[in-house]
Amino acid sequence: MDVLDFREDGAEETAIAPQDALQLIAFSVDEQTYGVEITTVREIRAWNGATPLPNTREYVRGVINLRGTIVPIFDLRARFGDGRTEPTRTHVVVVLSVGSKWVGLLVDAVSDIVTVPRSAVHAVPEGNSTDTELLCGIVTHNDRMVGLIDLEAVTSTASAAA
Amino acid sequence: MSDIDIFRTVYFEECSELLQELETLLSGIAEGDDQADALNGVFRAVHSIKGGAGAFGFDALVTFTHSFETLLDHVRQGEVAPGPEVVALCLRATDIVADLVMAAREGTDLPEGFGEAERAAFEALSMAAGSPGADDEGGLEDFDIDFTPVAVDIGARHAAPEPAPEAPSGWSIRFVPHARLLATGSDPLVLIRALGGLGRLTVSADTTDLPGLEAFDPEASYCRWSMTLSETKAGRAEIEEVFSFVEDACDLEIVPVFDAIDPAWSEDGPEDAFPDFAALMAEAGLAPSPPAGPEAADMAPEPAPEAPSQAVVLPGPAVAGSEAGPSAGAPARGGLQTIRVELEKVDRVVNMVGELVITQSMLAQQVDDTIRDRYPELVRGLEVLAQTTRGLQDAVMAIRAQPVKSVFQRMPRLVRELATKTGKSLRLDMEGEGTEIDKTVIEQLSDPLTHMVRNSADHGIETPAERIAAGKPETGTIRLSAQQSGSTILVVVEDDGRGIDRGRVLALARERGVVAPDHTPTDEQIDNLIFAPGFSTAEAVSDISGRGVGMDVVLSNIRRIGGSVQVRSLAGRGTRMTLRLPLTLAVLDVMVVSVAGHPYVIALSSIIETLETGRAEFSTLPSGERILRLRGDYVPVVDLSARFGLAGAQKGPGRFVVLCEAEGETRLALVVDEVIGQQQVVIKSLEENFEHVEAIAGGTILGDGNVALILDVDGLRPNGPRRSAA
Repeated sequence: MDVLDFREDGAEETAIAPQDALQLIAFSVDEQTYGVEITTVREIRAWNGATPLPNTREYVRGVINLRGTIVPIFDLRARFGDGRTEPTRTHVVVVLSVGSKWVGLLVDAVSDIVTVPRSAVHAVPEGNSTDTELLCGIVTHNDRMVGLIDLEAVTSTASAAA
Repeated sequence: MSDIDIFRTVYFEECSELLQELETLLSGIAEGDDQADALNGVFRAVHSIKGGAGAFGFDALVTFTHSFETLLDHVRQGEVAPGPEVVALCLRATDIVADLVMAAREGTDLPEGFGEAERAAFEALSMAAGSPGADDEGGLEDFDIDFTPVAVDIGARHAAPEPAPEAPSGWSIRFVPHARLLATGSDPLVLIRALGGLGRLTVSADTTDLPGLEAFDPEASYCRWSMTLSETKAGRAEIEEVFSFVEDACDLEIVPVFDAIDPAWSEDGPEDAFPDFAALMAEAGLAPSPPAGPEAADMAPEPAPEAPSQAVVLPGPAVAGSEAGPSAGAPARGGLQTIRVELEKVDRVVNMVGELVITQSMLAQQVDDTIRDRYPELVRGLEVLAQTTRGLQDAVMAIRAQPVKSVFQRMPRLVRELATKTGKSLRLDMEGEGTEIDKTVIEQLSDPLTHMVRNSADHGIETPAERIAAGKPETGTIRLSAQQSGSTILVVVEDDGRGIDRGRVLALARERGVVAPDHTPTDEQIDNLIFAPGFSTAEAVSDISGRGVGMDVVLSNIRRIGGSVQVRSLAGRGTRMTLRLPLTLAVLDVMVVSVAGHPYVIALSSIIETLETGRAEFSTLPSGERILRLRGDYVPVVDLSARFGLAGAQKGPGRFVVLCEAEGETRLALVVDEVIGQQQVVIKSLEENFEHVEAIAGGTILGDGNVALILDVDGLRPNGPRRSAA
């Protein structure tokens, strides 16, 4: 029987060895580009409002119904301390799995799928504690900086008072 | 989960079933049921527990069940009379076995010498029976398995393996179960499957020992298996591991196979030695199904799950010789037609059906007169959908429904222990154990019920002396009953004790500030005070009831699952506590309200009434807290928009007050913008993807796809116990 090879990296154009490739979904918040590893992304959907949760942190926008499951939405702009996003229908929620949980990140727009070698990931410069806390690395793509989001940290509600 | 873990889990599940059966059978014997049958059942149950315990190395359990079993054997043989003391001893022993099983399951240690007294009593009784025998002193390894030598035709092919320098390419395994293998609770199929997990497995069964139906014992194993395991990395140790639970109950031969050493051991090699099932069938002139002729079909026992092929293979002589009549096949036919399904899978179905019910009712609500006139076909379709949905819901709920027996069954033991501790003479009557409730409700029922029974035994029933003085029978009776009434289940705990001492309860309640000094509650209100938080303390506490929880816990537990508790008492004649429980927790009846444009839902069971703000009398306390004056009572007010910090709430009159009942009979007036209506919802967890949110019990998805939050009324109380974020 013929076995067809549908390996995902079959169509990969870059010369990066598959095991070394880091594929990111890149999205923008306030003109700045951030990325998360593509394997964590479950779904991308347009902003359609969320049910607010009482007495939670500013960056928790509320919860949405994702095919029968209740998923919390984190406002990335607010998470970075820049105030809440004023979302419109063009804003986007990136649904991700973090550990065993599903969470949504509210961002301005999804821009690209970026493939970079893992070796090209830079450490976040020491300095601002927000940066080192919420980012787990920096890569360069098309001459622009892409901040790698530390999902555990961004979606944690344990630290940082609202 | 490894295979061993699965075996363990299954073993413990079986143990709890067996323990329940033991309890039932022994109680039956005590009440004069047919002893021979029941005794056999008891013996089998204890034996099965022992068998598994041995396999897993639960030594304490083996030792105890072994002595227990020995005594039971003497009783079964008629050497020890099953008098009341012996039955009582057996019941106590069942409790001890339950504790030992629990200890084995949790991996905890029991105090030194636990159950020793009972064990000594067994031995004494067994000794008195005149045949102590080495068996009684048997150590841990002493399995009570009849060793039936089985002729094994190993044949020349199984000649001793030549030690080879390189790893074998596979293994040839001969597995010859002893006749009693099945009785130890082992299942050859499970073992063979486990073996199959190690590589490519070819199995053939030797059924030549299979007797005719008239001699067929469904609990004996007659088959032998030859297996070839190829394409495997497994070594001898791993194969032995598969059989480690049954090594004492079978003959096992594991021979390495080397490529090209003996071509006879190729895949189809063994088949001429041990024709497989299909070949056998062909030989017997039988198509695989159905068995030849109506007579054969009648005689054929239902395939026993333990040995699928054994029961079906009916070579000519067996059919011809089965003059024993249809009864020969009856025991297997009447066997359990059940499957074990992970609860999670059932839960998933239940949840989805819950969604379906809600979607269906949402659709039904959309039908108005216009639609009825213009689309009669659509409306008819919706009606059929409604019926089917309801049928589906009932059917699915029936899968998860369990008889309350599983909870009731723990009570006899409790009552026995309470009788011993309090020195009272107690009798427990149970009724309606077959009443079925959703498993999720049953799980929540155990604690409250235990507490109520304790309360009855401890506070309700008098001492024997007091009872005699009051002209009552010396033995106090606690009656436990369950019945279905519409969509609720009534569970009643009743005793014929002294009743609630209202004077004392009221005095105590006043002293503790539960009741205002100038307030005179009705008798019923006083009775219900026993559920008030912080009430059952101090004098009311004994070492039995006072385990740090009061009857208020009963109330809050029952409330949490949307139930209610009512108590009625007659001085000197007894107390009756009635639990009203929902049939299921899958769907919750709620009222939908809106605050600042957001929907919230409140469980209908906690709502007392709703009223418009224009008709409500509010007052303001010096602290600024508002209170609602309602028929002479003052109720704290919580404005949800303020409490939740929601902008855009309505101002002024025209809003609504939802009067709720919170934990411990306290009331709470919630101010909302709008009351939208009642409906059923499916409860969704916020914790699954997020965390606990203060004053929110969960979420639910409304017909429009939006999430509505379910309010936790207890968590909303101004100075109530605010649960901290998990």
